[in-house]
Amino acid sequence: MPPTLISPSENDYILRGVDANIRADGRGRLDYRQVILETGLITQASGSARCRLGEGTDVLVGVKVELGAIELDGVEEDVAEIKAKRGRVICNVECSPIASQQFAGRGADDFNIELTQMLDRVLNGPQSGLDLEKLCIIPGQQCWIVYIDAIVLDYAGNLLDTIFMTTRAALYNTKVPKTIIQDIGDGEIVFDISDDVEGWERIEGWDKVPVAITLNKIGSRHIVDATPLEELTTEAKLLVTVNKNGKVCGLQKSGGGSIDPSLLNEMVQTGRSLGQSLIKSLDEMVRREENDINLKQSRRERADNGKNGSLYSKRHHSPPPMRAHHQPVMKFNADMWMQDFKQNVMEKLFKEERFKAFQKKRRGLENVMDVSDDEDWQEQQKITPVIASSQYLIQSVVQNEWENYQSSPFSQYQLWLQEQQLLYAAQQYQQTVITKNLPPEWFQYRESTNNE
Amino acid sequence: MSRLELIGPQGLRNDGRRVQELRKINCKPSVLSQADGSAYIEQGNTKCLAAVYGPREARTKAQVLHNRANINVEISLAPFCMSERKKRSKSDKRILEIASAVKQTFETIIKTELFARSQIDIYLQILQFDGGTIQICINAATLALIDAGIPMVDYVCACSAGCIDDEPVLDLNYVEESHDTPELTVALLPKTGKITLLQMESRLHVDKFQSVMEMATVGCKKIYNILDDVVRENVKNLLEKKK
Repeated sequence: MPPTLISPSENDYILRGVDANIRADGRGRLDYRQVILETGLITQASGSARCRLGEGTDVLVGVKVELGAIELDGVEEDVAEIKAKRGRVICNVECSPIASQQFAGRGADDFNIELTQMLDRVLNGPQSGLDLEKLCIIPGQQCWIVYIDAIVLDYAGNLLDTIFMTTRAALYNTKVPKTIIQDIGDGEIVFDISDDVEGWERIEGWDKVPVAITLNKIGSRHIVDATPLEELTTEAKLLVTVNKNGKVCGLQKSGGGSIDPSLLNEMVQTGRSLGQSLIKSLDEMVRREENDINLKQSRRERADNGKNGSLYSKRHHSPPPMRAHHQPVMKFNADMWMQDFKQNVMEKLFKEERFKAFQKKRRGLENVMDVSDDEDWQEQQKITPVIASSQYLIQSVVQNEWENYQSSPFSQYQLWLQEQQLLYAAQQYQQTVITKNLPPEWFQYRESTNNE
Repeated sequence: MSRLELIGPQGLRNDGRRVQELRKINCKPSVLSQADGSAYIEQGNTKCLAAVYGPREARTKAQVLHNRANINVEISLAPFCMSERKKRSKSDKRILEIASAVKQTFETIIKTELFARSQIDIYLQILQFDGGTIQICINAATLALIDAGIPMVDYVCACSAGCIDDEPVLDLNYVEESHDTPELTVALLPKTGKITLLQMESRLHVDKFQSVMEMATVGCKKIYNILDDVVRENVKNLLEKKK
């Protein structure tokens, strides 16, 4: 059962971890857990997919394509004109009580509706990329209805992202039967459904379906793919839906806290770039799986890829995979982290040093009574941009900066480096000088010994 | 109207099984991260996930029983589990009936008197449906309860049997079920052979009853062997992990 409360110490632990770019499970701020994606598990559905994030969140999506009538009752004329030529997409998300105790009885109803609406809004708008006009069979009468049903089987945070990922894969897996339309005169049209299963086609535009990235603002930073505890620490959430071209298809801010405009921009940019790379790796995963199946089929082996439509086949579930059939979407990079860390430390030291210099200067200038160095320093920081309008002061500030810089450990290090280089160069020079000044007999002697 | 031939000339059924053959059973305990005990089981094309929570404090005061634990069973069907999409509400009468059958079965088998004033929740999620709802629900719940470590008298194994053309047939699938075949679902305790659940919804000649019943009993014993193997295997894996 996911926790509903968090203790202050846990809260603090997560906050500091996020600040230092290392989370409880060793990930960095922008690392996803391992994604395991499988398609075609439900034989009774037109298409299905299942996605697991790490060893936690687990979502199963079944897509069913069924015949239905186009409903135009009570719709305005201009809307009806567009609607008459289109199929429909109907979404439904259900949180099963097996995932969490909170979802038992009627406990999940509100949450279900919220998730369903989010999915529906993205897939029914023009930004979904699905070609709904291709789903129309006879305009104004018959069309295909695509039912997308998601079931949450296990819950360990970051539900929405997983639902979107799984939906995308399930749509890839979906095949729509072909129809043969016949005009039998008198304006009557009949159609037949083709029996040729091989000729069934994917829904056009499945690849343009966006994925969602939820960014959680913790402290002054943001993270992706939060665990349940991290979700409790989250001040504000931002859902960014992105398609494969890197276009933002929707934004939704939720949660109690607020987001700074500057941070908002950064978050959207992060979501965009992450979403694009996520789509790339997801597409590769489903393609690879299909290739595997095709290869086996061509070799006339069992086409079910060894898993036989089983949700918990031995191959995937026992024991927990050391490595699934793909690399983690984003990996924790120790080198990058170290670099980041070093820079942070440098910056901090530099700042401290500057602060000390400032204090020293103040002590020299002001009277002894002045003990509120700290406050003054902060005030000075605030006022600086105001004073900066004066040309003279700018110059003095620049000079100050330069002096401070020279006394900072960073520049000391630079100086030391330069010194070392000079020393080394001098040594080199000396060596060459020494060899030049050696008596010629020495060389002769060496040559003669070599000859012998 | 021509009736679909359910048993072919070679004595094979429409899914290629013989008369006394079970569908392939594939099961796995401990599949979920949040539940106290869980299991996944598939019999042919029927697939079911079970989760057990508890024993724990009862949610509402009305549910508290002062001498034993209260057992709560909830079944949900995925909208895509049948050949036609259908969204069922949780108060669907058919589902509630099955849930109460499962509840009654386990009330006598779980040692509820050990956990007075508490509650044990059994949640079942059917992901794909191809006949035999009650039997798969009971088998999945048994595995999940064992995984949760809840004390029970014995395993409970359920199996269905029917009668097609005067011949007893084991483990009916959806096609056979929907062709007016008399179907008998039996749940029993394999060690003592005691029957805890018996259900039949259509008519069957009394003379045939004995043979159909025997066939179902044999099926239950077979299922018991499979479940037992899986449980032992699972415990062995756990022990190895501990080393």
